[in-house]
Amino acid sequence: MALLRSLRLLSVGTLLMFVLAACAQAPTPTVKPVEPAKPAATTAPAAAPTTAAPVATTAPAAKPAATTAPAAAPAAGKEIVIGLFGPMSGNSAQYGKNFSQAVSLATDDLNKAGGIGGRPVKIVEADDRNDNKEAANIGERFASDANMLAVIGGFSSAASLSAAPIFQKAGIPQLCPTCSHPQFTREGGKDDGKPMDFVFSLSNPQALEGPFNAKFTFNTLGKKKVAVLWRKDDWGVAAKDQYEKAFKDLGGTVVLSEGLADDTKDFKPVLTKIKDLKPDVIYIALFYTDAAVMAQQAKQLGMDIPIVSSGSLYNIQFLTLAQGAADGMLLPTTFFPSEGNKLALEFARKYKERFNVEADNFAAHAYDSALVMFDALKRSDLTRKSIRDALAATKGFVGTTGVITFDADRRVAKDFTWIQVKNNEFVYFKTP
Amino acid sequence: MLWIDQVINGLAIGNIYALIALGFTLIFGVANLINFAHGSVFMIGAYVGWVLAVFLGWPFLALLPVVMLATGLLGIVIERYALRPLASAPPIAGLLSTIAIAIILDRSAELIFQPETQLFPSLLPYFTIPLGGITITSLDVIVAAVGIACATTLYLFLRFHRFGWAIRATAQDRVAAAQMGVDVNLVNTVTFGIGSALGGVAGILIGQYFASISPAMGFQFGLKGFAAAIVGGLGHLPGAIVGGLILGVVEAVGSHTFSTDYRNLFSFLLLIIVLLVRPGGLFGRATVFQGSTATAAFFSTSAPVRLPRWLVAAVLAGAVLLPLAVSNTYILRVLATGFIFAILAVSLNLVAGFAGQISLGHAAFYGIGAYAVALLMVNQDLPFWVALPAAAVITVAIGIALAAPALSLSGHYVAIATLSLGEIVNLLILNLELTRGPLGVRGIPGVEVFGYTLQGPRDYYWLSLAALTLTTVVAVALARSHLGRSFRAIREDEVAAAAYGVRPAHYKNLAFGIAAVLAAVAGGLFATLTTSIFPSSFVTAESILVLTMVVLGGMGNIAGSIIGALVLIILPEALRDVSLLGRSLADFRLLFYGILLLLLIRFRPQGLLGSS
Repeated sequence: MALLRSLRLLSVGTLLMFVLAACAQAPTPTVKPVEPAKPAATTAPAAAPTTAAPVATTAPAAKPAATTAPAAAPAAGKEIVIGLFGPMSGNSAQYGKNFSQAVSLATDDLNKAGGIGGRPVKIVEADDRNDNKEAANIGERFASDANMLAVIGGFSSAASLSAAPIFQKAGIPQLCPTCSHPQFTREGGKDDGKPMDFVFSLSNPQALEGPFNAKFTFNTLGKKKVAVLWRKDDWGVAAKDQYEKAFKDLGGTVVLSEGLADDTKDFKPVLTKIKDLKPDVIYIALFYTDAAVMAQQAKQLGMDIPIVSSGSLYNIQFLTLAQGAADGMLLPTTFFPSEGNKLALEFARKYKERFNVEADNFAAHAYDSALVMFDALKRSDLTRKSIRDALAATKGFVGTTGVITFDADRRVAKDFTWIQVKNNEFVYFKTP
Repeated sequence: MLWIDQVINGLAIGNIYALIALGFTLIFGVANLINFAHGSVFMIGAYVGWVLAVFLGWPFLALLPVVMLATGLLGIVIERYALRPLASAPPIAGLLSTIAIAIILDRSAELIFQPETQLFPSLLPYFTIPLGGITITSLDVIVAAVGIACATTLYLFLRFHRFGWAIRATAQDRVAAAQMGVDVNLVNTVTFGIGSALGGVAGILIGQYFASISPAMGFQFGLKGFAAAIVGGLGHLPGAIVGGLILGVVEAVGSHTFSTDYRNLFSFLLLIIVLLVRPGGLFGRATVFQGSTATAAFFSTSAPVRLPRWLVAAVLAGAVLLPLAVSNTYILRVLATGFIFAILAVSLNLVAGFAGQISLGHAAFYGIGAYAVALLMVNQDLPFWVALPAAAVITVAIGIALAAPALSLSGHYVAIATLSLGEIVNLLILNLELTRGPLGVRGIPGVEVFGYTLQGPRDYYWLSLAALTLTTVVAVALARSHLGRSFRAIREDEVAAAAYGVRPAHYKNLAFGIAAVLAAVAGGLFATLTTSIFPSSFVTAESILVLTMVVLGGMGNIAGSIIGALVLIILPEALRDVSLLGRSLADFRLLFYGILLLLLIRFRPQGLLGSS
């Protein structure tokens, strides 16, 4: 019995340990801190920045007020409500968090500078867990809220597409930051599907990126035999389809094309297979967590086949996880904070300053979505229809991810920059 | 030569599976319980090690004992507070309790440590060893050595130590062991402690092996460890190691021969084949088949709440008239989704509550139904009213073909087999050309009623309400018929039922068949309501959600299932506007499901409305 009693004591100890573990990580720099008060639906508008926000750099006219009084903020008047949805919890929550942080950064800057004609913008967030059924519920929730004028979101094409028909029917504009699905803005997922003219995407469509990457691999690098590894979701399928089609059209051969489930950890069987097939190059359409593990195992197996990636990998965490194994990897990106892109550099600096984490591709797309949306708001009568028309008329808008012009399909065609991993850093790739 | 390389690759990952399988199989052997929380304990172990290494800079040998102690204690706490109080309940109670704990641990880790993958810095000597055409690393050797060392130590302990004898005696016959003076509770506690400590060891080693950790790793590797333990034979230590290695080799060679696309499919097919051909596993004993089913007695301890007729009529009338008063389409859509899940919950209740078969793969029926309706409407241009019955037939045909062999099993094994079937069906949907893989089926047309095409949540609200009403009428009639009595007889005592001429296998098939039809209806409604479906809507987590709804309402209680479903669909939406510590309460909804399930099993196993 004495043993049991001591066990009981120890069990309390275990609980304490977990609490300690939780506390231990909070103050350290490598882990992201809890971000300052998200603009939740019930609290004061985002116009009242919390004390944690960087006030020094942008020098707002008024001091950040206490949490309750929006009147003290520069932008007063009736707030303009914009919806934002994405995975704020669950396995994809890091992407939703990027969305939330980037959009709140853009919104706070806007409101400090006077909002839209003196009226502050308020972001109402909703979490879809990247679940289609919840995304549809959110779609209906936003659409049925008469105050809501437009929506930014969601993260994956699948979840965004579950909500898109609802937005279309309700006539509320939806701007998806990262949807690259080939027929994202059309009904039924067919090329000749009826256009959904209230649905926009800020991400280059796969039909643009695939051929671009194929040409780079085939023409610029001069590689004729490719092995393709892709993430087994709607994004990965579209990415590899478009790439492979273009690569074959150019006269190249695809020696292997295999899909990998999300969170794959063991790449050795497929890498061994690739090693045996001896392609000139490997093309990957994976997310950074999987790609980092892949790069490590390729290194372990002593593979020296060059790797070209699709434009999803720009994330500092990728380099951290790959621990040098990704050196030599080539990737296209529309977002690359550097001397060549001052806007991106400035955004990356502000983002890092406020959230203590590097801005990645997803955050940049969400940030640009907010900027494009605000630009459209300024040019509209603040009705859903006029915002849609203003969005559709967006032309030559310079964002952190490139120049944004919506075409007839409400898609964009931004320029890519080729970058390479060298000494575990991203650098511009110079054509040899 | 390439084959040999792939076998080596398979052995390397198999090692990892084996390490997880060890703790899993030990706990099963003694407690006769499938510990679904083992993967989560393993993940927590990895995080404890990570915290010590990253923030306190501890070396490997210093943090190893601390991690073992922490996970061991976690195991003891789980055993003491979540499982021991259920000792006299049928096994299903413990199984559900461990599912609840898994949800709680996974979601807590996600909230505390953030969901993103983190770097686990290298703590162990690293070098590569060329072997054939490929290379293995020092970590492969360390993982194998630790696995074998753990298995050997445990074996010697069980073979030669007095307490080891006590553990074995308890594993063989709990009551007899208690009679002989063995403190069986202490044995259980110690076993959970050792098994969970092993899970912790696996956690840090695997964190090291892949140089990364994430909260999702628990479920992912837990499932593989679980498969390895079953392949080897539950409760058999060397079997767990061999099972892990076989699983790894099957995956590697299968991926090589066919494609990596089907990798997880190979694991689950292997699992199902083992269950059917040699249910005790390669090394296990076949005594795992007991006559009694998993849910008996436990869930029928209370008198169910009987809803008065007038109340039912009033609620129904109110529900029919509601859309006339409420114009908010969001509310109507949430309710329509709630009705669809209520149909699913009633359908699962026929299987779980009435026939006593715990299915963890109900999303498979739902998914097959949804895809059949969607594809028939989109590809063949069939109207909904033709597509739906056809989909029901297809679902029953596929469902029974898949589930029938599983139903010859009993107890835990039905749960394992249905879980595997659910995974297999989802992987097929994800991989088949017919279902359009990850791209999903889009542009599903609306339902036509007398020439009018339904559109918008209000129309679908009424359609789903009508379908739910019909489902309820069928289920109630069924429960009152001789069929319902036969189902309950099987639930209470399969052997006795068989002795009285009720053929359990036939009736179980019938229950699954009827449930499949209802699930197909729910799937068809879901497909037409959302107009697009994707494989991610029909995963195991969805099956567990529906099972939680059934338990919440009360096993065997039809009204309970409806209320359970409505509560779990509406509540998270209602919580969106409520915030706590700067976060919407909705962010905690899965954690809440886990806690709810755990508390229900412990304090109100009969659910809200009681069981019948």
